[in-house]
Amino acid sequence: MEEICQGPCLNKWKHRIGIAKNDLDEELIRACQAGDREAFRALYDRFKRKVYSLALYMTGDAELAKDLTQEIFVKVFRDIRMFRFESKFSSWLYRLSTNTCLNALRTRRSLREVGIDEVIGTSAEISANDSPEDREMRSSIRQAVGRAILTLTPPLRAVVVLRYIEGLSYGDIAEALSCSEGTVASRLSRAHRLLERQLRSWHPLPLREDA
Amino acid sequence: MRFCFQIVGRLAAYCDGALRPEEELRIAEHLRSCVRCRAHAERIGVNTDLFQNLPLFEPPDRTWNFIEEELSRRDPFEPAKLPVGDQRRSTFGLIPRRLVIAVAVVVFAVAVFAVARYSLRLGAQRWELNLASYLDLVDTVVAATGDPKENDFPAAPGFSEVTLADAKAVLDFPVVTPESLPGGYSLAAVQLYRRGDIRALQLRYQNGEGALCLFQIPANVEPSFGNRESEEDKAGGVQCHRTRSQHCVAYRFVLGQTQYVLMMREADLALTDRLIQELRAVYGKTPA
Repeated sequence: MEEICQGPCLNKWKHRIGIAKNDLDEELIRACQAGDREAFRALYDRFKRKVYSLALYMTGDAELAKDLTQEIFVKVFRDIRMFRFESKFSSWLYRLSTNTCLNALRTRRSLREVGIDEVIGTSAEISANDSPEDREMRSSIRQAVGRAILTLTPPLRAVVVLRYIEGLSYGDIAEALSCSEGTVASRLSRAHRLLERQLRSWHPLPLREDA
Repeated sequence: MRFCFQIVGRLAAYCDGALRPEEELRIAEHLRSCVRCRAHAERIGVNTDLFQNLPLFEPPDRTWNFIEEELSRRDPFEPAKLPVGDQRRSTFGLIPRRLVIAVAVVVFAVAVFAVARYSLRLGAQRWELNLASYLDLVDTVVAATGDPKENDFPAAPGFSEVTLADAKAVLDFPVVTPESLPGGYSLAAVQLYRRGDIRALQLRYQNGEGALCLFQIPANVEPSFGNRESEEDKAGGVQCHRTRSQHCVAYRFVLGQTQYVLMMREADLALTDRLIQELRAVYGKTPA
């Protein structure tokens, strides 16, 4: 959560960026629970990239990811009064988000699997100072990695995205997926084994196959 | 952990530094001696770098517009009235909602039971107080047995014959039980209705030439004459409702807390005056 409020974050919350993140989260959530519309928007701004990216990497479809982001935030704002601060808000949000994505993958069979290529290819994250060749190479690598992740089954995909892209701890992933940390570890290992061959050509180091 | 298959499922966690120190030491020891697992761990590390280089993305600008529109339509912004920790508590504050629901169910059940048990108090359609049916019964008996003057009144359905003492012992409203009445009538039978807490009394009198009967009913029970027309009248100094059938006339009046229905074969205003006056006199002497 490196950014507090991005985009048109509202003045009421903008000046509070200096507050510790957890305190601000709690303050924001309590304001949302009290029906503060500005707090809703601030909460959306705070978590929108995380939620949208999770949906995008899980589905590989930019349009569906947008729809799921909307669905997830509508659910968040509908149910936020039920949040009792017994767990981290981010864990609660990720659980809701992951379940929504997994449900969508179960029920929607036709996905635009090339959608993620388009999004990654136009990503502003690639530095403008890079040479065109570097930009092309980096974009290609990212597209290949994104496509490789999509070849995993949804449960394996979820742990990879939550761990390496969203940056959750094993404990938070276990909470989000309602499984044990051991299961998270074994799923990650399995995902690595499955992706090894697909990603080998993008490894920058010469790898030793055998001693 | 001496064998590769024992650590292969733990390598990702090892590379993430997510293992307990003792397990991490055992795996590190294995990796020092196993080139294959070491290479595998290196590939995991490289893959991890590739994954971690994937960027996060901004959702399209129009995403919020839809959310805002959807929320406005559902109107979830109404301020919560209860603190979040008390969502499952009732408006009574500290009383859990489940307890309130349980109490409400019990109260409802008791109310239903009470209505069923004491419905006689609430309506006049029960047969026990359906005096229209009793008048029909009287007419039927008279028609079947000939001269109406000589016929006794039948016992009302649901009433049982008891002694006067037994009846008085269980009645919970004021009654009058004169042994004799003007016109030479003397008490011939005492019938008691008793169901739950409801009591009613039927006294039957005879004088050798004819008969009359007197129902005594608590004030909170409504006797019904069905669709029969009722006329206002005044007899014995009290306001009466007079109802007729083919072979009977009934005067309904109230003395204190008790309703009376006096039934005679034929309308005799003079006799009725005297009878009601006598009943009033006896009632006046009756202890409350």
